[in-house]
Amino acid sequence: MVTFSIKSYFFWTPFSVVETENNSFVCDKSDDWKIPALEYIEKRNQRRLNKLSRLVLYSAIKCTTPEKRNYVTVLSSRNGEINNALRILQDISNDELVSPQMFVNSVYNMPFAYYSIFFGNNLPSSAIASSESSLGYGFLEAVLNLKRFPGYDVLLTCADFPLENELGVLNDKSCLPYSFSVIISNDNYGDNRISFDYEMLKDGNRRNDVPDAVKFYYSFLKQDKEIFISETSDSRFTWKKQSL
Amino acid sequence: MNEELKKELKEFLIKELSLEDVTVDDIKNDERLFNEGLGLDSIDALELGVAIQKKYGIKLKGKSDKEIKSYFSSIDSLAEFISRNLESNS
Repeated sequence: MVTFSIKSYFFWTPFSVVETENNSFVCDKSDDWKIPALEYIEKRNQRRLNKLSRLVLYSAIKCTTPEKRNYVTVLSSRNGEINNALRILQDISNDELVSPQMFVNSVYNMPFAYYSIFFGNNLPSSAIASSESSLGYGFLEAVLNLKRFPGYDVLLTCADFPLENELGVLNDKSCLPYSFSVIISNDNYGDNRISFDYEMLKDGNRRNDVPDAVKFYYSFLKQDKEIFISETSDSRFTWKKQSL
Repeated sequence: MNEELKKELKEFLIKELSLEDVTVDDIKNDERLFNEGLGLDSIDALELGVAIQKKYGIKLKGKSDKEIKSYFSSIDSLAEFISRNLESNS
């Protein structure tokens, strides 16, 4: 078990999410939504940003301040840029030229590469994907980075889009667009001390209603609940609020 | 020179290069597209080359850097290059 503090967090989804009595969630999805405008990045610098980068940057900017944007960063995204990767593969298979811009944006860690360019962040960055466990493994990577780079806080952003076009059939019920950023630190920081644990399972039980990041925000961070557990078929992550 | 093609190219440029704050009227026919003027860069040049090949079927392979620079220098030169290639292909 490891402990850390949450210094700041920000969550965005275009839909309203409600927790029902039996600890499950409902979400009023629609096709009519857009990513909010980005602040602190000049318009002309925004034109190359793809949807995932805009989504990641939106919550990352909201979670940080203009006075401090320098963080070790971790991106965790279940789908990443797979929508664009498929378009690139289709162009290649059709013997067509690949858009250079699309190719650049298909690199998994591109959102935080843009963050580094725009805000001069010179600290390490990593990106992971782990299917429905992406929140848990994102935290695991972030916590490891707290140990690897003592003295630095870590900005973890979890963001996703539903799969599109031909890949859309693979969406499960939990797919919805969201962006969640959190800054974690080894410093003691008020009441926001959290313990975090991870164990491997053989027969875990998964409830697929909304992504873990959405549950984590609504159920754990915004309410008085002391414990949040995320379980998949092969892993269980536990977050627990620590009393000082 | 074909004014319709120039207008089409301006719209094409705005769409393909996501020039959100630029309108067709903002782009002058003889204005430089790269560096000064519209301020496009090398990645835009690559993107534009691919987009032109896809839309008009015109390949830049085999052309020298100097030639490509001259074709892409303004809307006037780009329209002239495209219309000349379309005529020779028809």
